[in-house]
Amino acid sequence: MTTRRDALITLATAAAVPAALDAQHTHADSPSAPPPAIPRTLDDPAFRTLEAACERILPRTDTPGAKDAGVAIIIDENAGRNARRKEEIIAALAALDAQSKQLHSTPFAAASAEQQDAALSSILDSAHFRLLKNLTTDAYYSTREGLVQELGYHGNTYLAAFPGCTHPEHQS
Amino acid sequence: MAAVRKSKKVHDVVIIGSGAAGGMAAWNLTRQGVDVLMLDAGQKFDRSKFWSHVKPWERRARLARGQHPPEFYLNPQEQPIDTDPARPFRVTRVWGRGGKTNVWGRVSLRYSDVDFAGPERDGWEIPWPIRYKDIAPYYDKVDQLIGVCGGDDDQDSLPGSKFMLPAPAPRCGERLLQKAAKRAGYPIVAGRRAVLTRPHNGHAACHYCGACGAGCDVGAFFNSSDYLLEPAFLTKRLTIVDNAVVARVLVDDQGKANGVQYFDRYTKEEHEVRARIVIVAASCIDSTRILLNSRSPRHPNGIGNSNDVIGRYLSEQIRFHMQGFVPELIGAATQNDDGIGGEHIYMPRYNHRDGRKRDYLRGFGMQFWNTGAQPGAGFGKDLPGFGVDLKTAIKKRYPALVSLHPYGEVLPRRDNRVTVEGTPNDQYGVPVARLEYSIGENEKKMAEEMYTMCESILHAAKAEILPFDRGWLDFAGSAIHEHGTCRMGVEPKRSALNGFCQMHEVKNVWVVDGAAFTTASEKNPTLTILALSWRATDYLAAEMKAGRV
Repeated sequence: MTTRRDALITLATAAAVPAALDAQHTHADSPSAPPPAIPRTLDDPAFRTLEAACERILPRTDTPGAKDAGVAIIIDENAGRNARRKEEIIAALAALDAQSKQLHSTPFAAASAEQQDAALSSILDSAHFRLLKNLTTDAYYSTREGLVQELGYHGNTYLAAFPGCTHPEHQS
Repeated sequence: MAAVRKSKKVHDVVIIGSGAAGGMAAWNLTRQGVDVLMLDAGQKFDRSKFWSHVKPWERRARLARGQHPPEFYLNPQEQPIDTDPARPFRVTRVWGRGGKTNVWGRVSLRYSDVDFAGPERDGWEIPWPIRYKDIAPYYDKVDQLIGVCGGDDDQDSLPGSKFMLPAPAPRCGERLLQKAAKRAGYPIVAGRRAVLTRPHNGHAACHYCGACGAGCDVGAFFNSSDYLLEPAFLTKRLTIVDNAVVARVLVDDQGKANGVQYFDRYTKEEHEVRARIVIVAASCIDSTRILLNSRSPRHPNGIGNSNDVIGRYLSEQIRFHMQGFVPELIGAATQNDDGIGGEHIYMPRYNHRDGRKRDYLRGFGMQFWNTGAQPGAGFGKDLPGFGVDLKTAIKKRYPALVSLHPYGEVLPRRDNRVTVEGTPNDQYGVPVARLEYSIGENEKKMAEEMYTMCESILHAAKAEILPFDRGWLDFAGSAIHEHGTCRMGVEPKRSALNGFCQMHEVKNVWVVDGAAFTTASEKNPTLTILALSWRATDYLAAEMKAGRV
């Protein structure tokens, strides 16, 4: 269940608009205000390719996918802090785009889901694919959508006692 | 040239470092009426600012707002350590009150005579000058003071304790590993950790959030600052100078220690303080560097180092990681597997038992870290493919994760060393440490058996094993258990300290941290550091009372 605050954060960063999305109701410094929008690291075409690739790697099913979870935004932010990583990502996206154009005469971001899957499959053994998959996986499962909604994580809370394993069939 | 700030007061004792070793020395001495000045390279970490309960997505939002969590770990750029690029060694340092105990792994294992007398039996280098019977009363005292929870299993390689707090209940994956290990012929027992499973000595009990690595916001695991320094302050005999980066132990014309030189971490002002006794507890590498830099006409090779022992025999532990998924839990509902953070089980060293043959010396034990649901799914990167199939595969395996982390003892070797010969200066004008270190054939053979053992257990568990490279070892320094470079021993020609951590050559200098260890064992050292420091300072206090030091 996403709170209104989470929705604000996701929307604010996804649309890259200033934090005053709901300026009438929240003060920019209050804890519930969305964080300030961070300038995009990748240019628009590269970002759209990244977003599309992440979504094919971990797509929306009955639970949110990478795009819903803002995975490309997270990867883009990290790229902004690491010049070498940024170059590697750009190279991977360029390789993906080249494959898509070669296979289907269309850029990756504009291709259909099936075409995108085919392009990804064609670079499966490459370092480019490994990079995109690793970044997507780490990012997705660090989001509320991935960790809580998809995986059911409910840890890091306050318990008076820890019951441990209660399954008789697991005992020695 | 800036003036050196020299303080006139002559303290009873100056302690360098505020971690487990230094904190215990301060606590034990102040309660016996000794006035202590402590120098710490950093300052106190504010528990109210720990990010213990900040979820990964909240962390991102905070970082985006320009907030940051406490910086526990020293940036090596601030204080570089030289290593041979072909043989990197990463030293993890925490400069601040409590040192590494703010974020340590909390595994609390007693050493045994398998460790202390081991070298006597196998002939490699020197044995410890103490035996279990000498330190056992101090382990008992430490257990009772800090609170250690876990099993009372009493093993030859892992002595038990009568003072354990209730052991935390094992998770499903841990139970299954125990069953499998038993089938495969390996012992897995209840672990021991310095985590409070009930309130103890005024400290709060653990609330099982599993966020220990971010610092405990309620102080429910032993850390030197809350458990030793705060009580010591109440005696009004402890003074701490923060942001004091110690460079050297100072000596008089007779070569006896009479003080310490330090630099203010930020202003770089040079200071000298005077003391009758100097206790070095800055953690193995930093302590050794200080001693080696403490040169004088009487000690041309560093204080107490006429036998060229200090800096040598650097040893630590080899380690690797193997992960898998137990079939009983694949597709199961996600549970809260946080527990006391880290595993509730432990595999003690067994390789010397039951007539087992081996072609290497010493041995290994095993930790199990992450079992079940974690705040991430890094393993997903090692599953094949992408798309819905990958997403489904990750979800099914998420509750079933088990992980194995064996630690093996590295032999002490003369050429594995810390040195300051010809090293560049740090920002305060003091030579930095250089580490020269390689493991040998002994450790490689041990690693072979460690891999075989891990595979046997996971096979017995019918686990799906994640890909691994047999023979791969984690980077040097990753275990964060460095030892040996100011070792204790019976013979002054082959050791720097006696069994009470007192320098053979300079009777008013004590070295009480991991540098004092004669061997690195396969076991985590902090409990032993605490026991040795307590014992050392009991002896020191008695010597001071008797006027012998």
